[in-house]
Parts: sequence; structure tokens; C-alpha cells
Amino acid sequence: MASVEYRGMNLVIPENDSEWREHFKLARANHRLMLRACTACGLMRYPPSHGCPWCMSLEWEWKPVSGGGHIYSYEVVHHAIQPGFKEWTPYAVVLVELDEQRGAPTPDEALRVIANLVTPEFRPEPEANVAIGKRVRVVFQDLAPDFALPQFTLTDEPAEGRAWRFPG
Amino acid sequence: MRGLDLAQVPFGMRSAGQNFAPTFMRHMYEYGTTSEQVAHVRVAHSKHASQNPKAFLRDRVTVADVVGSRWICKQLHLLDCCLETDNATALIVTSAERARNLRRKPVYIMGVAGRVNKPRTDFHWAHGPITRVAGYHAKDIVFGQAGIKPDDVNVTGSYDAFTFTTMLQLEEYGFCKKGEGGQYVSSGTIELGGKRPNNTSGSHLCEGYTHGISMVIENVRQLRGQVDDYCPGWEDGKHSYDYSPGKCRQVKDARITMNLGWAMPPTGSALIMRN
Repeated sequence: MASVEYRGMNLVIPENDSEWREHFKLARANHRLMLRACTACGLMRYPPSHGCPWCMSLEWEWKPVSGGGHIYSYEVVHHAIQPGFKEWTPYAVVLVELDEQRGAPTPDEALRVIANLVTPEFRPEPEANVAIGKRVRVVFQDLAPDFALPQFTLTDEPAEGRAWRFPG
Repeated sequence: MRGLDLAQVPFGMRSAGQNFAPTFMRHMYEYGTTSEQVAHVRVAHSKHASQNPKAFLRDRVTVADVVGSRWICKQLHLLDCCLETDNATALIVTSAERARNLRRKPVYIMGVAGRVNKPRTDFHWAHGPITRVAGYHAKDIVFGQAGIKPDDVNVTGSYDAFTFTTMLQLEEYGFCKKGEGGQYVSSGTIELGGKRPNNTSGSHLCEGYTHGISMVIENVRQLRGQVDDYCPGWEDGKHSYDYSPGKCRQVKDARITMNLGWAMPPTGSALIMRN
């Protein structure tokens, strides 16, 4: 069983958790975001579940994605409840919509991933810079020889549609 | 932590408010909903709690109080969030025949939708549209059983873990159009004296947290005409219908009530009752 310490938490990945073990291991080895893709219907998914959420097939393969996307929604945590995050407040949690597979299998679906919006030094991006629509790319925080945590950072690309920031 | 927690908790997303906030934020983005509009949920529920001797927080608050309270998790202010309390609630469900011989006047269940889910329940944000909550899927079940429409409902009880949860559910069950929840909750409709008061006990935001059951009990009281407010004759159904502070919280001629239950954005339940 692998256990990685991060911000005072133990991220535990038992041997039989092939989904997460491979997810973080592939992130560390390649510094590329890899998602599970169904070999029956071809659709990717996140989180890396064993079965396909769309066609229920149990056959899958890992597939790389570009790691680019935009902020679909977000929040800014001011009152941290996890001790390891207190010195990070206020910090942004972003819901990133990846560039691949947008609008599939239904117009409302997309590959969406939760992460923090961080600076290149893996510090929380100031909240004034966080907005829905802003373009981001994945970055990898190496935490162990077989474990990297995917995070996202802002890019210089123009926003996806209307950039919108919570007023206040 | 392990398993599905790994998709959120390493990023400082663990509490209920942290889980739901991106849903609320996206609603503000898509529909122009404002903090001030949604603050009216707290304003209304605090007004109702001021008529409830058993409520934990009985002071009325204003929109300025809500949006001026400290940040918990943007866009949630402290007063957008419910109480955490220990208390107990109980309901007795029996046949109409058996209930006829009981001391208290029974109310009747017209429709129930129990634990209805969105198509994917693992993570709300993994399945779009994220501004849609389970009520969207429960409404045809519960209204179909009851044979009524939202307009026929006199009193609602919409789960208020947060001001926003109340608003989202009122939208999904069709009390207003999708996206117009901000206008609906800030129009006076949901306050005592309005067209369809919501959570007349003060509920989770002000009365105490009981995972929705106290709102069912409150609706039973409303249907019996026996809301335990400050009216001296409440037990005999004698109410003043004066909704100024410290007075009455009985809704006049309440015939049909509805409860909108919430577990997480993708899971909910609903109940329609009549007298």
C-alpha cells in the first residue's frame, strides 16, 4: 500500500486501487495528464473509474490529453477546515473543463477535473486572478517517486467565451 | 484519505459548502443570480424563526447582514450557511384508518419521491449541467402521484443547508423557471404573508439542523392549523396572522404543503401532504 503525505494528509492508495495508483503514477512518470478511455465506446472519463459511466463496459485503456482547458467554475476558500490548508487561505478550487471531448456524449457533458489554481511555484494563485472562462494548463507537483498531483495554472491564452469573476 | 476522496480532498475541497460552491458559482455565471437575491432566503427564514419560541436563532436579519457577514467559501457568507445543532425529531406514519382514532388531527400523504438521483452520483461536477439538482428528476414522480401542480402548493419546505440549496430546489420543482430562482426568493413570495411561504419554522438556517425532518413536522403543524407560535390559542387553532416579530407564524388556509429534500446536489427526495 502506497501512502503519500501532502499538507498534513495521508493520501492512501491500496494495492487493489488500480484506478488511482495508475492515475498518479502515470502523471509522475510522463508529466502528462492521462485519462481512462473506454475501448468499447471510445469516450474518456474522470475520475478514473473501473466501468465506463456511459456504456458500462469494463474494458479501458489510458489515453493522454493535452492538459489544456478553461475554468468552468470555482470557489475561493477563506475558512479552511483542513489544518494543512489554513496557511493557504484564501485559496481557489477550480473545476477545469478539458479541451477534449467537450459536449460529448450529451451537450451538457465534458471532462471536468477538480484541482487548485496555483502559481508556477505551487502557491495559490491570488483570487483576483481567478475567473470562469480563463484558460489553464495542467502542471504536476511531484510528491513521491511514483506520485504526482495534477494541478492547474493560468496561461496567456484568451478566455473561453466570457470571463466572469465573482463580484466581491 | 483514499478512494473517491482523492478527487477532491487533496485540493482542500471537503466540507459541504466547499462541495456545493462551484454549483452555486456556475448558477451565478449562467443566470446572473446575485448574493443579495439569495440572501433573501436567510432574511425570510430569520423572520419565520422570530415567530418560533423553539428556534435557536430568533433575531431577524437583513440582506446587508448576510452579505456583510464573513466569508466561509466564496460565494458563501457565514449567514448563507446553516446551523450545526444536536436535536431530535420524529414522525409517525400510519394508515388513514388507524389515524382516525388518534388524538391529533392527521394529515395525508399525497405523493412521495424517495432518494431520486441524477444519472451519475459519484461527483456532481462530473455530470452536467452542474446547476441542475436532483429535484429536476423527482418532480414528475411526486407531482404525478399527488395529481397537483406547483401552483396548488400553499407552503414549501425546501432544504436550507445553504441559502442556495433552497433556491435551486424551488427552481427545479417548478415554483419558478430555471434560472429565475434569484428573483423568486427575493420577491417576498417565500415570506410569511407572501404567496407561498417557505420553511416557516426558520429551519436549518435559524431553527436548528435536523436533516430536513423538522421541515416535515412544521408542514404537518401548518396543515393542522396548530403551529406552535406565540399566539396564546395556537393549540386550538386560534391565530392572529400578525407576522410582526414575536407573533404568529400560521399560514392562513394552508391546504397543501410540499417538502423538498436534499442529500447532495445529485440526490434528493420530495413529499406532498394535504389536510
